[in-house]
Order: sequence, then C-alpha cells, then structure tokens
Amino acid sequence: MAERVPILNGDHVTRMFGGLAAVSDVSFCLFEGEILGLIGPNGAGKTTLFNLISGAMPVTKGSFLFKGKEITRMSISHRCHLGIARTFQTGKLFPSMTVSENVFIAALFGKADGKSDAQARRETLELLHFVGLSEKARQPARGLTLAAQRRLEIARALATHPTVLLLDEVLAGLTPIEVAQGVDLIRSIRARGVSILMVEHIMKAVMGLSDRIVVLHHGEKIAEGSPNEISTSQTVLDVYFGEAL
Amino acid sequence: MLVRVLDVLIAGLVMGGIYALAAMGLNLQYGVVRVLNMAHGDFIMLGGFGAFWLFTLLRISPLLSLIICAPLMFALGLLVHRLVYHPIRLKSPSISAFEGYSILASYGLIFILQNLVIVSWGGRLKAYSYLASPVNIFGAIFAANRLVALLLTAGISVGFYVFLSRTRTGKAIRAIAQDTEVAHLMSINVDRLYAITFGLGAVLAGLAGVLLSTMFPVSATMGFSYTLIAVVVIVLGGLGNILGGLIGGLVLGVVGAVVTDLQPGLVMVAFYVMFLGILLIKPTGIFGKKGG
Amino acid sequence: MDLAQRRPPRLLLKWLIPLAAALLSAGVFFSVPLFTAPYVIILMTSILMYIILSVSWTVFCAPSQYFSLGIAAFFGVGIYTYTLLKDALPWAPFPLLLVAAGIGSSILAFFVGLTTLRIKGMYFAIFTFGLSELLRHFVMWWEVNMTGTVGRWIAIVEDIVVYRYMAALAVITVLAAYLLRRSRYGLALRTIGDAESASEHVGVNASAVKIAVFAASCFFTGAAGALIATRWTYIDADFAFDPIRNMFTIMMSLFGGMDILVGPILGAVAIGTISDVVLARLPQVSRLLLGLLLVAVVLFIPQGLAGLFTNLKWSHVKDRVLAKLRGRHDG
Repeated sequence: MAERVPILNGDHVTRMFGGLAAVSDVSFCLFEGEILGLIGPNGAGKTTLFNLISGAMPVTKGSFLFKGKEITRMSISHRCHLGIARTFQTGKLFPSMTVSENVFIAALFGKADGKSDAQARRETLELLHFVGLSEKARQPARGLTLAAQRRLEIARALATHPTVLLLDEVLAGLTPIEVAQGVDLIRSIRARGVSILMVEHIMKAVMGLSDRIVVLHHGEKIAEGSPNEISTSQTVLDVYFGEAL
Repeated sequence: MLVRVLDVLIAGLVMGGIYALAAMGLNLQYGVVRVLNMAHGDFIMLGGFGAFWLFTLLRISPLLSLIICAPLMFALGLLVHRLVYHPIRLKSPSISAFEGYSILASYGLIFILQNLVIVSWGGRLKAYSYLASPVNIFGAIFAANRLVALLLTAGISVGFYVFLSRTRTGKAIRAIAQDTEVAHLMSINVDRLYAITFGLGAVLAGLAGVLLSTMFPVSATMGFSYTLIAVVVIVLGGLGNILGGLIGGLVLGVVGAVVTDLQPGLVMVAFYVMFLGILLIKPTGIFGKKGG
Repeated sequence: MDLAQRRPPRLLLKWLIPLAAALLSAGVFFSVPLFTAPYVIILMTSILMYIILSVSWTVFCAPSQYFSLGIAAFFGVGIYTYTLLKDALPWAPFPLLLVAAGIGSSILAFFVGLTTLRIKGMYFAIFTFGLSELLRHFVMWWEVNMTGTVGRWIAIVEDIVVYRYMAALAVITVLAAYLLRRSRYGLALRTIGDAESASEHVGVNASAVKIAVFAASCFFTGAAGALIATRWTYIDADFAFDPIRNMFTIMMSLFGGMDILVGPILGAVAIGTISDVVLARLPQVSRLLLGLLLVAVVLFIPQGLAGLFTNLKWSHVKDRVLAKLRGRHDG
C-alpha cells in the first residue's frame, strides 16, 4: 500500500469574529489524491474554513501547510499560484465576460508562468470540453442556468492547474440528474490528479464520493473518519438530529 | 502656557464635537443605506444658510433655528434619497455597483447644491453675530457661542444615541446596519427605513451647520471641506461605527486646533496625513473590525 | 469581442492595424492647421486635452469600478513638475520635459495606489476626492510661506506647436488604452471590477494590476496638464488644481459611455466643445446644469451615449455584416 502523502494541513486553526469563534481549533489533513468531505449543520464554519484556506480571510490562530510549506501569511493569488483553487457558494462568476473568457483569464493568471495567449486558449477549450460547456463558450456568463454556472466555476478553478480544489456546496440546488452528473464530474477531476476538499449538504453525494469525512459543529471538529464510521456515529447523529429538540 | 493649552484644547473639543456631529450623519447613512453622500457637507452648508437667513431676516435665534431646520433638512434628505439614491439602488446589480454609482451621483449633487446657492444668494461669505461675548474659564477666554455649541452638540449626540438604542425605529435601523437579510426576516420595512435613515443623516448635518453658523461665516463653497472632514472622521473611527465617529471627531478637532495654533494653512494637510496614516496602519479604523 | 475565442490574425496584422490607424489619425491632425483659422486650433487643442483626460480616466476606472474623483490632482502635478524642471533645466528639450511631467504624475499615482488601491472598497474614491483640493491648498501655502511667490511664470509655447503635441499625445493615449483593453491586463482589470475576490482566487495579483494601470494612466493626464499650461504665461495653484476638471472628466466619461473606448472620446468632444465657451460666460449656471446632467446620466443612461448606440437593434445587423466581411462562419 503506497504511503499517503499529506498535501494540505490545517493546524489548530482558529478564526474569531469579535468574541465569537467561527472556527475553533480545527486541525485536519488532506492527502494526495483523496476526496475529503466536510459536513456539518449550517453555521458550522465550513465556508469560513474555506476562506481561511484560500487566504480570503486571515487566521486568528493556527497555521496551514501546503506540501509541507507554510502558507498562512500568503496572499490569495500566491496560494493560487502554488496550487490551491476553489469554487464559491454564492457563485462569483465574471458577469461582464463570456463563458470562455471566464476560464481564459484563469488559464492566463493561474500560474505565474507567463503563458502565451494561444496556450491559454487551448487549455480553455480543453477545460470547457471537460466540463461539458463547449457549446456555451461564447455566451455571456450572466444568465446561465444553475448547473451551467457550477460547471463554469469548476472549469475556471481547474484552469489554474490546482493540486487542491475546494468545492463549496457545488451540488446545492441541482436536480437529482444534475447531482449525479456532478458526482461523475468530481470523480473525473480526482482522476486528473487533483485532491479535493468538498463541503456538501447532499448526504448521498458526500458519502458516496468521500474517502474520509470531517464533521464541524459550532466551528469545532467533532468527528473524523470513513463515511461508514461517520454515518453510524452517535455524536454526529446527535448534532444533526438531537439539536432540534 | 497652560492658558494656551486650555485654549487650544477647548477650541479643539468644540470643533471636534461639531465634526463628530457632522460625521455622525454620514456614518449613519453609509452604515445603513450604504451611500457615501459626498454632498453631505453641502447639507451642512444649507443648515448654516438656513440659520443665517432666519437670524438675519426674522431675528430668530439659532437655538430656535435648530428646531425649525431639523424637519426641513429631514424633508430634503427624504427628497434627495427618493429622487437620486433610491432609483440607483433599484438599478444596481450589486452593492459595490450601487456604492460606486451613488458616489458619482453625489459628486453631481455637490455641484447642484453649491451652485443653486451661489445663483440665489451669491458666493460671498455671510456671517451674523450671536452670543459673541467673551466668557472666562480658568483664564482662557472663549466666545459664549462656542460653549453653547459644545453643550448643544453634546446634547444632540446623547439624544441621538438614546434614539438609536431605545426607540423602535432606532433599533430597526441598527438591525439593518448589522444584517439586511435578518432585517427583512423581522418584517422591517427596509425601504422605508433607508429613507428615514438618510433623512436623519441630513438632519444631523443641518444641525451641525446651524451650530457652525453661530461661530463662523457661511459660504456656498464651505461644504467640500466639511465633507472631507466627515469622511476622514468616519474612516478614522471605522466606517459605520457611531462611537468610533464620535471619538474620531474629537481627535480630529483637537488635532485641527493644535495645527491651527501652529501653522493655520496646514490644517487640511494635517487631516490628510492622519487619513493616510489610518489607511496605512488600520484601514478599517480604530474601532473597525480587523481583517474584514 | 470575446478575447478567448478570437482567432488571432497573423502577428503582424495584430499590431499593424492599430498602429496604422494611429499614424493615420496623427497625419490628419497634423495637417489640419494648414486649412483652418487660429481659433479652431485653440478649440481643437482643448478638445484633444479633454479626450486625453477622459480616456485616461476611463481606461482604469471603468473596468475596475474604482472611481477616481481627483484627476485634477494628477493634472496639476504634471503642470508643476514641468514648471519646476523647466526652471531647473532650461536647456532641456520640450518633449523630455513633457515625459517628465507625465512621470511625476505617475509617481504620485503610484503612491496613492499603494495606499488606497490595496484595500477593497470606497477608500480610493474618498481619498482622491479631496486630493486635488489638498494639493491646491498645500502648493499655495508653500508658495506663500516658503518661496515667497504666488504663481509661476513660464515661457509660452506657440499655439500650433502645443496643438501638434496635444494631437500626438491624444493619439498615443487612445492607442495605449486600446492596446491595454485588448491585453490580458485589460481583461484582468475587468475581472477585478466584476468580482475582485474571485479574480484573486484565479491568480490575478489585483493590487499590483490596479496600481500599475492607475499609475500608467496618470502619465497621460500629467503630460496633458504640462502641455496645456504652456499656453499661459502665468500659472498658479488655483489654475493647476482647478476642481472643475474632476467634474468634467467624470461627466465626459459617463456621458459618452464607459464601456467602450469610443465612449469617452465622444463625451469629450460633445462636452468639451461647449464647455470652454459656456463655462466662461455663465460659470454658475453651467456648473449647476453639469451637476444635474451628471445625476441624470447616472440615473437614466449609466451606460452613456455609446452604450445606448451599441444596444440598438441595428448593431446586430452591423455585426452580421462585419462577420460576413471577415469570412467567419460562426457569426
């Protein structure tokens, strides 16, 4: 059995807002080639954790290591160049540009390697084909269907050649067929060699896709394990169902 | 020497109080309605002119003018909001687009208000004398009107603070400032409150203008500097933070008084240096949230 | 124009066409004086200056959505850089001084950007709001207290010479704006305006792009200032940092349309033509009207005149015709 290589480590990460801890002392490890699911009730701190990892927000305490390198103080674009990409829960596509331009810009700037326009165009076409958006290439990014928007977000993130992809509820609001297609897409992303950390509420998808799962609640990590372990864990069930009482 | 320090300090607090009052309105408008009305200083100017004409034509004391101008400024604020900022909000695809376009529109508003006044009443300085008799405090001499202004500013600020924390409307306004989504859920009529808040901001500006007119001459072009001062104050204190604005105003007032004492022509430069300083050290302001 | 899909013409053509257009326009401008009266030259110089102002403002502010309210500051710095250098180095060739003036403006812009463009939000707008007035007061204070003189005397340059330089500068400015828009940095700037956070997440160093483009755009503003100042023997802080230029520039860009290059040019020609005359005759009324017009434009036609035209149905017809001419099959 090949030794598992840690790609992304979070070490006692804490983020405070005034007196409230949105993320509290969370430590985790994402291994190469793995799909790690991140679940928890609303407000558990999942998107905040993503913001901390991508650099959109500074940590209050703790650190992140990417391929063994300390990235806690790095800017967002620097982390992107190193190989961390993400999608957004509230889709942040570039509305004044076309579908292909959205991907093109990411292909151009995703790595600080001075790529030529022609090369970036080739990569754009390939990625649009990969996510199934080739026909919509020249459409404005505004006015896309929800499923198409999600695909575009993914294509754009992939254009930066990431090693780690953070998917933030990328299946939310989709029809069952679209969810199934999304699941397939995520599997094929992993097959391309990208390690994935995904936040998702659709349990069936998360359980089916993830190699391991981390559960957050009120900003704290309360459980970690295989999908099987998590789905039978009393702690987790209490959190999801016990709180209602 | 002590007298001089006291002189400068009290002058600074008086001006600082006015700055804080001027900024409070802008802070409220930005924190709640997300409009940075660059014509705010011109509302101040209009308040000042209102007091001037009431005194000059009808012999009405500025204290009474405060009460007369308040509803007039409120109405003006409602009007401006309804005609300008409300339609822009309806058309803007996002908050940042709204902020951008409304700041551009407010720039046009400056020219409209300033030049309406110049066309109507001329561009020269206008002044009147009110309570200009000197008062002696520990050897330092002040015009009575400054002390009156200080007291009134404190009174208005306290009154406003009470309004925000005790009344239903005030609490609703604070709720929106915190989180618009939640406010909607609490079935607060957000649109109506935007209008009211903007109107209140105009009232505070007008009151500051009335108080200023008791101490200084007014002119059609005075608005610009006051907008700038208000802006520096709210950045210093933290955008949207009322308490921060209060402190920021007082700080700026004292700094302004010190600089006026040493080198009068450099007051604006001093304010800009402070502006620069806060942007470099902590852009979210003294009381602003850290790290966004 | 979808930059990602454009089938690139041969490398030569890509550069040749814009350059040829630029040289052609320059040629036209340069030959005009042979056929017209002197006052037309003066008018055209002003209009060309307005074109430079509105284009240089738009090239940064429109795509990034960071609105500078203080272009007059950079205009004035250009003027003073020129006069100070001219005093210090009277033998320096005129074009060199103009370039230096532009660089002086860029340097100020660089520092302003360093302070305010690294922070998201309204800080850039409000900082630039008071900047021109600040500089006006400061320069006046300096002249009164430190140098003992108010205003400066400069040697006049002939109207025709000023006109030619202004035309050349205008052509260069428009060309530079066009090339930037088409380039990857122009695209990056648009992503910053669309969704800055997302832009950074795809690897764009937003702060660096903003500061660089802003500083570069102010070069042209400063050079234009230096150039126009040579028409007067006497300049002072009130003239150099006149805040009406802030209003004007915003007005021209918005009125003409910020989304395409032709917009600010249109606005500059439209407003610039009537401005000097009307402003001089009826200063307050015209300012009042300008203010009303600005508010009206923001409310009713934020996309400007150019935006209105491109939205008309006949533009679809025009596109199809052009596509056929280019022999494309996906048009």
